[in-house]
Amino acid sequence: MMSINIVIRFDKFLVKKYLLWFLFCYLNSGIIQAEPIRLATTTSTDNSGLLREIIPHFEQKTGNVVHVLSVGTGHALRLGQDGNVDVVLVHAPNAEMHWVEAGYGVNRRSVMVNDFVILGPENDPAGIRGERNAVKTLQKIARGKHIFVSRGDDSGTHKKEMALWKKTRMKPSVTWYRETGQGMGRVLQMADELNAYTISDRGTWLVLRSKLSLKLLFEGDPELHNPYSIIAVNPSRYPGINYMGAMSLIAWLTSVDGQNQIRKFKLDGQSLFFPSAILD
Amino acid sequence: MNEPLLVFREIEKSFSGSQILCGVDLSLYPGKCILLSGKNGVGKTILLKIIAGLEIPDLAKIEISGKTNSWEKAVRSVRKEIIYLHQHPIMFSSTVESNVAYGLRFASLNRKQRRESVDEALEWAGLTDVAKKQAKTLSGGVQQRVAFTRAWILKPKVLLLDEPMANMDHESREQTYQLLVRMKSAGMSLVITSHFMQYFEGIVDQHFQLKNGALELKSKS
Amino acid sequence: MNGLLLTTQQALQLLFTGDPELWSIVLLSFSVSLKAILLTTPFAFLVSFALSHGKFPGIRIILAIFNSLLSVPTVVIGLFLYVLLTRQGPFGDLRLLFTQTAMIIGQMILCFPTLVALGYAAIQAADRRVWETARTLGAPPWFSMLTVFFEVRFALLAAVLTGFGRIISEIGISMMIGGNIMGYTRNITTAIAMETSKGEFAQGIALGLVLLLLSFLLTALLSYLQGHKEFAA
Repeated sequence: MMSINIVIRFDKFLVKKYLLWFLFCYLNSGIIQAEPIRLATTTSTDNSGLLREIIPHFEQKTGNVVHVLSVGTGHALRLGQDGNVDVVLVHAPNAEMHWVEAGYGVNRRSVMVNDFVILGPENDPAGIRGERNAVKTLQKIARGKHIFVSRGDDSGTHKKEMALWKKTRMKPSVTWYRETGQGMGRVLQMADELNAYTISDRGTWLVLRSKLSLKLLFEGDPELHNPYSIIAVNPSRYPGINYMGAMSLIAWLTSVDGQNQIRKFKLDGQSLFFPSAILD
Repeated sequence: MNEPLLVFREIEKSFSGSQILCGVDLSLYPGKCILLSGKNGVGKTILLKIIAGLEIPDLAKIEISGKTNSWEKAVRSVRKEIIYLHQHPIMFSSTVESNVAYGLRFASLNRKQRRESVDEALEWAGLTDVAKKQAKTLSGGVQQRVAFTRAWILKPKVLLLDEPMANMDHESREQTYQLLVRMKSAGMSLVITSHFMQYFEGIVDQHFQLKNGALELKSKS
Repeated sequence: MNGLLLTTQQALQLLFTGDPELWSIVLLSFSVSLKAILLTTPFAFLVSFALSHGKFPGIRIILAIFNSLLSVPTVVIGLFLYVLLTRQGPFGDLRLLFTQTAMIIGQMILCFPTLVALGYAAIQAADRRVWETARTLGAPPWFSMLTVFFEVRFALLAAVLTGFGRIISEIGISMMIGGNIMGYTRNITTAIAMETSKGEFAQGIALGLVLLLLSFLLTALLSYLQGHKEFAA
């Protein structure tokens, strides 16, 4: 006799109670699970696929869970400064040193090295192929007013680019210099569209090169050296931070096992990162 | 001889600036029927709704078995015994059966008792044939009967009917009249508002007219 | 054009071969948004009802506020919540940043004004006689309210669907306080943003197709309900 519609009305009331209980359990569930290690890294590092490949080894070995947040360098350091992550892995040496000096991080370790490359259209109108050094290539591009696409987002790549422009003693002009504020992948695509020059980390280049008509025109200058460091967030600033987890990750990445994993990682047949923690 | 069930005293209500009810007194007797007439919009519906506890008066007192209480204090217990029926009753989106059973949920009856009660009520009103039909799809006259039954099944002491015979054909009016007679003999106190005094000949015990915010006694049988 | 076709082909392949990463992203989107909408709806409709039936001062102002919140950009909410949840912030101790819980909370805040405003419209349109009949027949206020809800159920359901549509397609909140962590807080929208920033369009398109299909289904369901409403009244 109680038709369905009456039952539905009752259910709505029960559903409310059930859900309050659910919310309570949900919000508390974090206590029961193992505490994750939060790693902030840069988009170019993450996009290379290295972490995706090697982190599981660490997780299996130690039983930890790593949550990787991939954002711009500035944002990654900010996250560490605010205590929202436990450890940062970035590639901006000057910024890193200031950061540690300011007391935000401890135990900075060198992890690996790769390099930046300069890309451009196949016909290379600026004629940078075979140039002697990176600074000269940028000078040629600037003089010829050839379109150059920049990250413009304060990332490690962008910081390197800015450092190089400083050395050219030339100021890029808006007529040919495009500051995009975008990630490396997008920037490569835009450079592709515009037949423009750009500077990129080798990893993203290797991932995308088959889809682009851009060519690698300059590499090898020690100026384009790209070192990565890992830094633990200063535990005295935030008592609740997973410092032990952070140190455990740093230990593994700089251990023989971790360094070997880094060395083994290949993109498109090429070795991408060169371990630098242990001098041999 | 007759003890009033309830007495409402000094009901005052103003609406958007104008005073609709100024000191209305009304006594309700079991098994008696009061007819309320008056111009459209004079406040008959509001008066009924105040009595039913659906509208809040500016001022009112309720007398139960000789004891007077303010409206706020007494309305809760009084409300349970009074049911108000709209001029055009609204059906819930369910079957006739379900509509009739609506109020029973809050009576302390078990499933079997509820079932029996509903069956009895449906028979009383002659609705057994349409019990399983969607109430909204039925004609106005049948819906009216469903509304009556919905109220009757709860055996209220007071039933307030707002223009119960308006827009009805002759047959429906006949059926409604019969239902009202039965309700009266079951001891219910009825208050009916209507323009059509002739329809209620034979059952009305007191006739009041609401005029200028007060009740005028028109006739008494 | 060829590239686009190829990418779409790859996208469909990813979808139909049940690529586990892709489907875990889809599942996460649904899981978070469903929880958010289910948790918000009962309270939001309670508020709608109070605004509709209440006789306290300031109802108009409150309604105006809710209506103005209807189209707040999600990044604004995301940013606002980030400041609250950051470790140095007032609620930093809860450690909610970069968790699914935070995403759910953010989406709850997002859909709340929508549910209240549309719920209010639905309840206002309800016949006042429903409430009065329920009350006079002895139903307590809470049950009478449920009865009113039942009578306008199609309009209420439409409100829920609208709210759901808004939260499942938002990115500002998920990105800012979810963090797009793989397997944990990466949902359809953050994944699309990330994939496109990497230049990986196939994944992005595949996920976009799922979202498009969903929004199509929601719209169809909504129009069905609108039609039904006319007959159910």
